[in-house]
Amino acid sequence: MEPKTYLTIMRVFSSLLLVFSIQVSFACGWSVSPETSRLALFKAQREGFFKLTPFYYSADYYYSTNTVSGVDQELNCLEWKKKLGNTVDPKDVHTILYETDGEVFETAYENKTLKKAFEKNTFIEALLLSKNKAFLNYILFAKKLEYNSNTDVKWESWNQIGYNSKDHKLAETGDFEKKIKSAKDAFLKQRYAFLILRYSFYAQDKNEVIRLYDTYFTENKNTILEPWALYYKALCIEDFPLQNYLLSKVFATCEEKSFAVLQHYNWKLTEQTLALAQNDEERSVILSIESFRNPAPDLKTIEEVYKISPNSINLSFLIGREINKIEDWIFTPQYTNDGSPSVVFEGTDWYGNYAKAKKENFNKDILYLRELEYFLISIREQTSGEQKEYITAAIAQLCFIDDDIDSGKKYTNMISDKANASIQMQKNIQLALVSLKQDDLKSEKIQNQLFKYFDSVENLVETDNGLFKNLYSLYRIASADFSKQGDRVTTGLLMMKSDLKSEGEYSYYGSNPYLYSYIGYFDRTATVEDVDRLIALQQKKNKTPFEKYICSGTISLNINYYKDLKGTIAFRNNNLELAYETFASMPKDFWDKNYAYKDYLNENPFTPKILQNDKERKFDYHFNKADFIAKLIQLKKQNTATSNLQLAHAYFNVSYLGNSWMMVAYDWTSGESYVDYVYGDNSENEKAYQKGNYYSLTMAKMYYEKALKMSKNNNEKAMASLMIFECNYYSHYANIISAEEEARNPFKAGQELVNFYSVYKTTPNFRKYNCPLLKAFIN
Amino acid sequence: MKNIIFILLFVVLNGATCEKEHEVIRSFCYWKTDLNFENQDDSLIKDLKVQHMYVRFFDVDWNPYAKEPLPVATVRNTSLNESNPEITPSIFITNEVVLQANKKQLDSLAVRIAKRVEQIGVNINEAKADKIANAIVYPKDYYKQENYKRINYDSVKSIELAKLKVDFKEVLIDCDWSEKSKDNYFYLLKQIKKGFPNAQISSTIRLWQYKYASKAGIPPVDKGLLMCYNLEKPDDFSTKNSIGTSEELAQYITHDQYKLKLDIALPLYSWAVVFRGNQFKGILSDYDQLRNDSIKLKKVSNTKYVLQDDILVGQTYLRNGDEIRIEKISEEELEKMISIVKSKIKIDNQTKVTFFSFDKKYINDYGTQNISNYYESF
Repeated sequence: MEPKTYLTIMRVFSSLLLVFSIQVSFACGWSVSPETSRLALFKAQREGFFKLTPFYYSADYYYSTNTVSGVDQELNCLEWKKKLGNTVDPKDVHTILYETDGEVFETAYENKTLKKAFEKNTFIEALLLSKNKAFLNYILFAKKLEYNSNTDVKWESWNQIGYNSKDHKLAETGDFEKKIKSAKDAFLKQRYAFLILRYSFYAQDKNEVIRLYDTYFTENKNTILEPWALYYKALCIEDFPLQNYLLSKVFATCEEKSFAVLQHYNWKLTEQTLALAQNDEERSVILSIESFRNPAPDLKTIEEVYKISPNSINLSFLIGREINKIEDWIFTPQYTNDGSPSVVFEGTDWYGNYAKAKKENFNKDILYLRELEYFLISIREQTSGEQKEYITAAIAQLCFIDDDIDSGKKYTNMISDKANASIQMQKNIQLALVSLKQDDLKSEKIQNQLFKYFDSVENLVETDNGLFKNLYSLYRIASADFSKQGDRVTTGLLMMKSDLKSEGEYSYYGSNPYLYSYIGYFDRTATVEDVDRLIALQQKKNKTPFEKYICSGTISLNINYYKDLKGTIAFRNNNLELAYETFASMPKDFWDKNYAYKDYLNENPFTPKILQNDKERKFDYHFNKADFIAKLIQLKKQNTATSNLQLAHAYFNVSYLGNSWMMVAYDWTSGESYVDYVYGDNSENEKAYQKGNYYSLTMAKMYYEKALKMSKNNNEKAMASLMIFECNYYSHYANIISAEEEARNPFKAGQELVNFYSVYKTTPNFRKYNCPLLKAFIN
Repeated sequence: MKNIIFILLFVVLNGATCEKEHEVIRSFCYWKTDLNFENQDDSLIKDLKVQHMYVRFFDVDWNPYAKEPLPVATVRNTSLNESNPEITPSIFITNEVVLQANKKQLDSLAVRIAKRVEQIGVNINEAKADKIANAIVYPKDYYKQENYKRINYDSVKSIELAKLKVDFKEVLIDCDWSEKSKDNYFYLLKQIKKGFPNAQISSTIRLWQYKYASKAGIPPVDKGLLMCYNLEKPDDFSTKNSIGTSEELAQYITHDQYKLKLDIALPLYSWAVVFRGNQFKGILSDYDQLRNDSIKLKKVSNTKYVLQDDILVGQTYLRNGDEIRIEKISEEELEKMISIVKSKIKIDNQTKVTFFSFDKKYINDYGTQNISNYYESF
């Protein structure tokens, strides 16, 4: 019989190891990218921002976007329209140039079915006119040339099956010069030259690229092809400052290449590059490019750009970037569990004295914020039109970050109704902030107004997925403000709403929502009254628009999820009657069908898990929470030695050491689930469950002591004594982790164990559970 | 007189209800580019007792630059895992090929098709041989066996491969031939037949080719596969039902005089379309998981669901309140179609009844029991 207890003790030690290992897994378990957790509320845009999208402030190398500029392509289509006549619709040109697979075009041409394949296409109609034959031939050549760089065609060869069996004739690239020369029309000449220039670039014929540009593009620059060609030429230049200068010119004159320009730009050559600039406009572009990827405070560049180009788009964009930086530094630590900005700099001593560094950084960031704010206020009056509206929105945003709501409100109100849609959206976010900070959030009118602000942003998400981040941030902040007013239900739902927005898309296909994802937030914050409110909200028939909105996607249609939580909280609070009433109102098979109950609530809760070896454990107990609580109430009423012993066993088993811990907690120990990751570690709450019973076995011990005192039966007394020892032992080690602490405060077995080995040494329980390891605790 | 009518009626009714139903050959069409069965596919084949499959081996299209027919979209990965249905190689030939090619090209096309079918057959056998060799060389739990001795994998495989012969009983040619291309197509079919001396050649018959048999002609083959559906593009929303209806089918299957033994192909697929208000928003090809989520999706009728939450699917941002409609031929419709087919076309125990197409999404959508019932109702 001895090995059994040995095994039991070993099992407990190994479970302690498991606790440690889970803490480790917490440290490197769930995480989202810094870019995902970063907060940003400012996303006002001016016309022309679109090409700058990849350069928004981001924790990644570049800001990721779901849209790319099509402006250059549209310009090219317009050039074709201008050339072929007004009957040509630029949209039709776009269809052929940018939406038609080369294969499809070629096939239709070869089969003489262009007209049929592209029915009602005005561009094709124009190309098919005999006077335009040269233009048609050009398009055909251009389409064929696409295959020379991309041979992925549908045709396979008869001789081969499998990969590399593709079969397509490449375009003739033999006599390029002849093609250019023989083109009589200057428009076509330049276009052939461009095709060949690009081809030469990929064939690494640098001199040819430069020659073609100099020959065909220096004179006639009145085409979108010119900056495209200049881009390839710039990359063939070996003098880096000159390369930078040419790239900056490409950047200024077209949209399509802006991202590529930033990728190829050579940093740390600012002075040499600036020296080549011919005028202030060019200088301002170079300065802006240099600043577009700077993650550090850069008011200096903003001031310089303002001096030479006060109304430029680049200036506005840099101001917006600066605000996003400050939001990251101030908001992200404030509203996320991670507690640090998404972008941290080398040399920042986060770990040495984190709290101190955090405070210092916060103060530094606030000072910087004000410096930027004062600068913007000082230039506001000199600006005009869209620039002025934009700067006003920027100042308002800085006031809000600084928690200066009155000034924020003042500037928000200065944004006129004529401002563009994006600035209006920013205004709505700011009005929502004013309302959240100053209004009575309990008022239905205010809540519905908030919904309107939220919805105005939601409606724009379809065209700009980047706004998911604004929603994520806005709901986080709104959640915190509702929390300040003590409304834990709305706080929780908004927090969940924020989480849903954080990835820019719902983790729909990855994981289906399950019970704990709906109640996880409330598990750690809610009272039974809160859960009642949540249930009432879920069941409310005529929800207000605000309520409907915060419930969508966050509230489960299964009311029993919430009842289960309510009963569990009542049980944690030792309110057995309420726990019983709640569980009894639920379907009897709820715990057979939901969550992981079937896997974790399946053992007899009245047999202490610790006294069983693996072979003795059955896992076939049909558990019903209501029946279990009813039994506890009955045992309490009986108040005999035997009933108290059973109660003690039950409380032992609902602790984290027992076999029915899922009566009290949804996670065995905090830190295992995604919910723990998003809403924070739950350990402190767990420690308080049932007056500390969950980790420290307080209630179990209390009932064992009661049983010991009341019992007249030595065998029962032996069991109670042994279990009191176990409770003492685990309670001691629940709080002590390090060897130093143990040395200062060593565990001492009490009188109960001495009695177990002396007074009760003839009892069956002694014979069953005694062992040398246990005896070693008696000195 | 009354009695006579009664007796006549009885005979008619009795005759109708007691008509012998046939054990048709249960078949499916496999039309994807990737043939790589998993255990789930095996179970479907087993549950449905599928005995036969038309597998699309490759397409042939007219290459306008080379000015000759070339193969495209040849099937990759030819592994059927544990399943072993009889396979009919199927080749889709565009009408353009038949229209453009000259006699000499059609001759060589026939030879090339035979060669390519043989090559793919070898690939299928290779996959089978791999499977067998694996089981022999690495028996279950071999790593637990103390005296496990590994045999040479390559030699086992080559022995197993030698046992397997490429021996197709039938080859299906799929072409939407026109009146204009008829002669060329029929010539090609005759040439193809020469390349498969031991196999039957069959040709797909589209509904119009059945109805207007005198115009379209009867292809010179051993069997026809009547395609009882009319597929349109899913994004064309002017079409009422892009898959086809029983009403439409009845308009085509008007006679029972087709002079070729016919197998039957029926449609089995569906998709989900999203509407906001009455405006089309997008198509969800993979809606299975979404549909099972009773939390985000509320079922409002048999085919309609309403979103309870905002979600981003691909590039489409779907909002709370959007409606998702599942479009498919209803079970009732399919039963009607079967009875129309049965009323005009001779069915016997050799008739293959095939569903287009094999995909666990569609099969689960209809349910294996329903599909089994369809086979049984022939």
